[in-house]
Amino acid sequence: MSLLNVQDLKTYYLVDTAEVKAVDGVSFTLDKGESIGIAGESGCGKSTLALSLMRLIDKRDGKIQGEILLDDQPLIAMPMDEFRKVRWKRISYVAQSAMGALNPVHNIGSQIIEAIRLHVNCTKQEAFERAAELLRQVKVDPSRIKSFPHELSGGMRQRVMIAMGLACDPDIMICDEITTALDVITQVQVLGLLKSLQASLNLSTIVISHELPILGQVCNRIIIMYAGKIVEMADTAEMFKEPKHPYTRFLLDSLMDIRLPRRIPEGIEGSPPNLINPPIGCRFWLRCPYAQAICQEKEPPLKEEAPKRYVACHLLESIGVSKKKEPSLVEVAPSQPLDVATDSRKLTTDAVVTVSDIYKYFRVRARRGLFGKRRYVHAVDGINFEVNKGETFGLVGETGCGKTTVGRLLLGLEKLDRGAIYFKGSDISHIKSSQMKDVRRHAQMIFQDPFSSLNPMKNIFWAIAEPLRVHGIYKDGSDTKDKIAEMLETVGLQQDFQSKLPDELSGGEKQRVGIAQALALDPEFIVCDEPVSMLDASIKAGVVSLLMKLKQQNDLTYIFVTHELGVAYAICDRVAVMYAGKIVELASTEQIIKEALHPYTQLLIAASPPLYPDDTWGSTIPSGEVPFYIEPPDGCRFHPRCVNAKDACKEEEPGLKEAAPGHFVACDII
Amino acid sequence: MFKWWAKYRKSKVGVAGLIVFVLITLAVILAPVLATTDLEETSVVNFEPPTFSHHTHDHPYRDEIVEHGTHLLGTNAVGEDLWSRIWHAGRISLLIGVVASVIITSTGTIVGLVAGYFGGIVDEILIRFVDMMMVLPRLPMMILMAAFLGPGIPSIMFVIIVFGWTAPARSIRAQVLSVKQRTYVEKARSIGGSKRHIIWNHIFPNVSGVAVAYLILEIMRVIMLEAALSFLGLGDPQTPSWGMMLFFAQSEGAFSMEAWWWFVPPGLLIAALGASCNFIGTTINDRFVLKVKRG
Repeated sequence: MSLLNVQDLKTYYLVDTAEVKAVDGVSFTLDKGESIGIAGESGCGKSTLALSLMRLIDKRDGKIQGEILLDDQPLIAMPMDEFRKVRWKRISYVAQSAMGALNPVHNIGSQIIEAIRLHVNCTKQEAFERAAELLRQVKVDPSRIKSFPHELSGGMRQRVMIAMGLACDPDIMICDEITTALDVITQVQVLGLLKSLQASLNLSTIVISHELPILGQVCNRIIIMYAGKIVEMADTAEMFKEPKHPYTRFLLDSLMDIRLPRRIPEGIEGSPPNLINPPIGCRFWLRCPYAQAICQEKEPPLKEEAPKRYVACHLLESIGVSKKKEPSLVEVAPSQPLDVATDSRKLTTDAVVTVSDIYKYFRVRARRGLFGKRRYVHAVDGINFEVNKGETFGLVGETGCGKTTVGRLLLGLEKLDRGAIYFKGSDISHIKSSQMKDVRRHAQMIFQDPFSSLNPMKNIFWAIAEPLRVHGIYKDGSDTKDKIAEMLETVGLQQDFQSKLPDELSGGEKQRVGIAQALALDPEFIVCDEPVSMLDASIKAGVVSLLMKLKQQNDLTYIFVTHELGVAYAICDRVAVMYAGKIVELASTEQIIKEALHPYTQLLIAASPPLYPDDTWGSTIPSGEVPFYIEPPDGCRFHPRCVNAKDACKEEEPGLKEAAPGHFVACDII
Repeated sequence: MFKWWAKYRKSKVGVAGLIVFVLITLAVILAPVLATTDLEETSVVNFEPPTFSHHTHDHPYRDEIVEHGTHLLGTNAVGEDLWSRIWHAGRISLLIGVVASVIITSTGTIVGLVAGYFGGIVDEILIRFVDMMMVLPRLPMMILMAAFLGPGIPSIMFVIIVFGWTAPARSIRAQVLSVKQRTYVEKARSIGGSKRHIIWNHIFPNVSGVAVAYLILEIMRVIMLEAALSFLGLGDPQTPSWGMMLFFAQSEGAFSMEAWWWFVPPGLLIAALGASCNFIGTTINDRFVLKVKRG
């Protein structure tokens, strides 16, 4: 008998008068001590599934149907009063810890105590002791029990959330995107904690994430969801070794991993279907290159193909049970990788952009005390580099390292404090705004957040025409219309997008419009500020390969700002690793990934999640988090975290030195 | 346009408000058609309750025949037909409401846009001035000012506008501050767009929802205020609005005569118009105004 048995679960939301079938007939079981991962693109229903298991869907918003059995006890039919006793005591839920998940006006101790006392009969003192023990369990110093959420780092807040989840010693813990908001190094630590808890408490977990590699590390079994349905369910090892459903294959193929050969995946065309009127038949057929007539007519049932291996596809025989990089797959979906490594691109030495010793400090609003000294965040603290024509120059680092600020300084969106920036030999950091406008014709930016990057009141035609209008190139004639039609085609969007409003577009489509806007003026140089970090893996791959295609066609030079080493590895020629406002290592991508010299770069590489399950992943990551400095420490900025730090590191700041030809590193003890 | 209507239509309250508003507006526009008597014409009978047909009867004490006209809402103290008067008065009320509200909202929008977009010292000066205006006790100040300027429609409108533009200015400024943070504004800057381009194409369209909601809600507030000030006797006796009608009803003894037909209809119309504006305004606010942050 399994611990949790979900049968034909359906959760429909009511939006106005339409029903959104967010979860549409999902069945699975969970055994004691097992860990199930649920993966899928945004909008596939994975979070709704989790909320449904907790019965956290408000009656006015939607309804839950089907059967959820916990130890053969039906949960859905249970009266709410009774269910409340089950909730948290037997099934708990850990949400993504943005600031909002913890109440900012109560200290973390009292929030954990509240969770305990609501479900267990005990005195305040007992609950307090239990809370301290829980904090020890999640490796947070129990002396911080009186701390308020804002006094903790993101990783610690996530640990506190996990402690709350464990408060009543549940059988099942649901973890909903618990590492999404965290930096890579912190992510490894939190996942390591989760893994050790699973083992030590024999805890069953349901882990939800849009990142498949993460599930690979912490789950025994993986469920792939698409448009409200399960398309594949298998043991983790099986799933990664031999993905069967075409969607799973594409999903795995879309991932960029620094441990594999360099390549740019194609991604999956299109976006998930509308769940008000999902397509009849297989929900994936519109995007599936194998689709046959039967796929459009009949819905494929979730069949047990092999023991404990379920797939919902009509065409398993015809497309074979082959591995994902089988030639047939490449034929059907032309995922011809752009071979970056051997591309016969001659790097010319004429620099498009030269950055010379730039500084940018942001003033911190609050002083320490009324007459305290003003403090400044050292966002960019003395940076030099050159970007050559035709190059893709990567800037990588964690949140707050100053990489985005560098991008914004380059385009004059922030004012430089000190130093100079040269664009094709001329200084653009000390010129008038009218002159800057001319520069902007040649230098453009692609922004991160696709959800607020387009004016909701203006249609797509207007958006792409905007740069032309600003620069006085826009004419009401057919030339402009042709130009915009051409831009849409270049970025792979249909012509009927011209009259659409941004609300009607998906994230990936908006990002393509953003690219069209940047390209409209035929620039030579583009700063890509995390252009794909908010997109799903399959969409991400498509946008990345589009950017690379456009680069070759239009002879562009990119600065690519990203926190994902995998993406940088796939497309960049050279990479600069930033830490606390400084470049700590700068070299060709191959050198950075394969021969990293700086301890921080090595840490980043070790923390980057591997595509295939790897038990040793993260074992070399030391505990403790990368601090966010308002004012950096003396000496090497990384010394408080560095395993090799010597006394000298605490006093003298190492400069960027050439360790090998073209390989610069700021560390004195390598 | 069609899309907007489809979105608006989903609110029952909003549609009901719109219907009432349109009906009242039509009625006051068609006042000359609806009026059954000439405005100057008076009936012999004062304080006559509503009568629906023309009839005559003998005077109870004197030897003469009393002629009754058709007075759908009866007559007032001097025998004027109230049905005819109420629609003409509505014209004044609605006109004051619309004109003052347009001036209030456009002033507020401009101030809000400038303060919010330019920030810094400009914002500091403008918003401190707005705050100063907002802490003044409004009604007493208005009465004082209106009394000082002398009764009449222009002075009533003047004081309403002077004290009215601050609230929309504050709201629009807050909205501008939120819109200003969005990536598309940043993007327009990176393209090289001028301040005028950004304000006109990116900021203004995205705060226009609030502005329109304010425009409608202000009509309600202005009509209410005008009624209040007129009731206090600060209006123009020559051009009666609904508020003036109530003032006359009060001063000429309609309450003691229990002549409900004199004061109930204008009161109801003020309430209905106010409620309809409120419904429309809140619907626009709920459905078309950018929320601070989704998700």
